[in-house]
Amino acid sequence: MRIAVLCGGNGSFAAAGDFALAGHQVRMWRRDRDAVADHCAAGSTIQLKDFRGQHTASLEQVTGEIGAAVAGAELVLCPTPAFAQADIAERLAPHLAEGQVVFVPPGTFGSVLLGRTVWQSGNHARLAFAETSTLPWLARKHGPHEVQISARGKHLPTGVFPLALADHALEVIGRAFPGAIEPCGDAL
Amino acid sequence: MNAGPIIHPPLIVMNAGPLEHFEKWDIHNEGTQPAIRRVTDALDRERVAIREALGYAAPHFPLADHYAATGPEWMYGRGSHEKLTKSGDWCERIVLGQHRYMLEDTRMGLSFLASVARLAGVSTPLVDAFLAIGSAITGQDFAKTGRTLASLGLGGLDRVGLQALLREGFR
Repeated sequence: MRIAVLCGGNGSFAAAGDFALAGHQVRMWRRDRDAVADHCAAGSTIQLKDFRGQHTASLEQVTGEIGAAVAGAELVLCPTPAFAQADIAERLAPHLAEGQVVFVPPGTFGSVLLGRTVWQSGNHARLAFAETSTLPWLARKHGPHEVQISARGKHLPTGVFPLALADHALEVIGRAFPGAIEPCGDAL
Repeated sequence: MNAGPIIHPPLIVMNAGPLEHFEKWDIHNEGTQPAIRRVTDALDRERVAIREALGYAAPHFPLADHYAATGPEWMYGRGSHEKLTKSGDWCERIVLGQHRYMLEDTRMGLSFLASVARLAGVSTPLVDAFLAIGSAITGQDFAKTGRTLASLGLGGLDRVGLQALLREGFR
């Protein structure tokens, strides 16, 4: 499926690399225009190291336009620290469309923050926001386009806002994290 | 359910001396000592008490499972604590006033937990203590700069109102 990965930290690189290697079409949005230009010039790939060795993951696109990254994505992944969520929510709000699922690992109740920001911006599409309790990767970047993954989340308790859309959200997220998502009710 | 606000605040606050003194200090390895583990377990019990008071059922994913060699697997599966410390990636420079463990997990994670605890009528002395110490270390008042139900515009809701919003969304 098409997945948008937001930002360019440890979690975003681990996510984009893993999803691309699993066969998903991954678009990565980064705020830093210079980093986008460097990453595109380097072929929009991620060198991913884990216990099996080193792999090259090819991304469909690395872009500074959040709308381009999100357009047509079934899943939008926002693996950032909680203090970055408010700014991302503002930028994301006009671009989300009916049926999309936004997943925030870890959450810190960011799913409700995002949902509220999007609603207040006047975008009233039916959207699901989900969060889990930790970043699904123990990972650190070892270079500008290189990440080492020490462990992956195997049990990810996941809450959905609003809970009424949980079935849809968990089905989409489950395709990105096969066997790891454990439904745990509402966002709290 | 968030794990970061339970594991990280005791690790950075109780290791504040070595973190500032030594060039490198691995909070997950040499910084994870029995006294600190007793505190993370007690802090985790406050989190679980809030969950239970609000009517959320097990599994609560107790942090103790992360360190245990037997019993239920925690979020990253068996042996992940060993993989993490062995990688050497976490033996890193942590500047207390700037790091995510302080500004995300302590400031935002624990302030949120404290506000939900008030709604649930649960007392959380360790949550409050780490918020106070974190505020003193950074020179900012986490009660004001953190994340609370009120700062999210939900301060006027009681428990039933909040849980209805969480079910149905904004309308």
